[in-house]
Amino acid sequence: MRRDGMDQRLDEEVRFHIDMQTEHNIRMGMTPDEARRQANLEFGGREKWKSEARGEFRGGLFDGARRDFAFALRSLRQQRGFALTAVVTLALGIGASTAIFSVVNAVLLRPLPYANADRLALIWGDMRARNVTDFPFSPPSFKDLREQNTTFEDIAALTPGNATFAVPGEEPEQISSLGVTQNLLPCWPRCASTTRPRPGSTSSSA
Amino acid sequence: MARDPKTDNRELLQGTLDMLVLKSLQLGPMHGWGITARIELGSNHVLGLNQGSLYPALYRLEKQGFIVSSWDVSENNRRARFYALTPAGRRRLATERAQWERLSGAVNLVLGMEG
Repeated sequence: MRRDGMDQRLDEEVRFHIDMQTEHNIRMGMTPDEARRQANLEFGGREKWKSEARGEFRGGLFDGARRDFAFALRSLRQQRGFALTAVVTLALGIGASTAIFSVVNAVLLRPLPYANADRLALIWGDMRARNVTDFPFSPPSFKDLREQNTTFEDIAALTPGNATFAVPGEEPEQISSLGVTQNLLPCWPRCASTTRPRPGSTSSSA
Repeated sequence: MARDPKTDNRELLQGTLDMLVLKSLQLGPMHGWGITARIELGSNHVLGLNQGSLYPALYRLEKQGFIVSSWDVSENNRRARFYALTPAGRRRLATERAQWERLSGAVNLVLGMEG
């Protein structure tokens, strides 16, 4: 049964009930005014029980949720400015959150593709006499480091840079590059042709 | 039925409303007001229905398939929604009645204890 029909039926039933009760009260000796007043009184909160009866008839909880949803849609349609603002706000919020999460996931959350990613370390040089820390190693130093290493399983090197990426017939593009030693990628050389460097894999491995 | 709510302690025992409504409809189809009148008369004016629970109960019973309703003409020539028992409603009434008799019999037994 449709909602309007339902309300109409409820209204008519209530009206009939109150009329019957009024007549009954008059027969019991009340003045007509008093009779109607008492009949109305007895019915109590009309809207309250109507919503209860409607709920019984149409399935309670889900019906309520559906009506709330329909009401929300109607309200949004009436206030287009507000609706548009809300949608744009949501879109921007979701977009920004997604973008931030993508970066956080790649840089912080997703482990690097090594067997024991938590045992990776980044090795820097210090020049203590000059008070310089986090100084990169020169290639000969790296060679010594690797050959005389007894602490790590292996040591790889990488050096960031810039490069020009040019395809004939297209605009050349400036890209960030990373020079690495062969052993940086654990799956070398199988993955070399298909793996693109990701942001986040820019630390040297041990 | 004009009664003082403050001294009104004729509240129905929980769960008996459905049974009483079904029983009153066993006498024949009736509209909402008539159901309250039947129960009131039948109980010698001891039981009074709260309309706030009668109509929700009627709609619930109808949804459960124990009663059906249709528009008809009342005794004073007005359009009214009449409710009637279905076969399922009759069976329901029999079940509830048996339960009620068992329960009230047990309560009476306890109250009749001597010693």
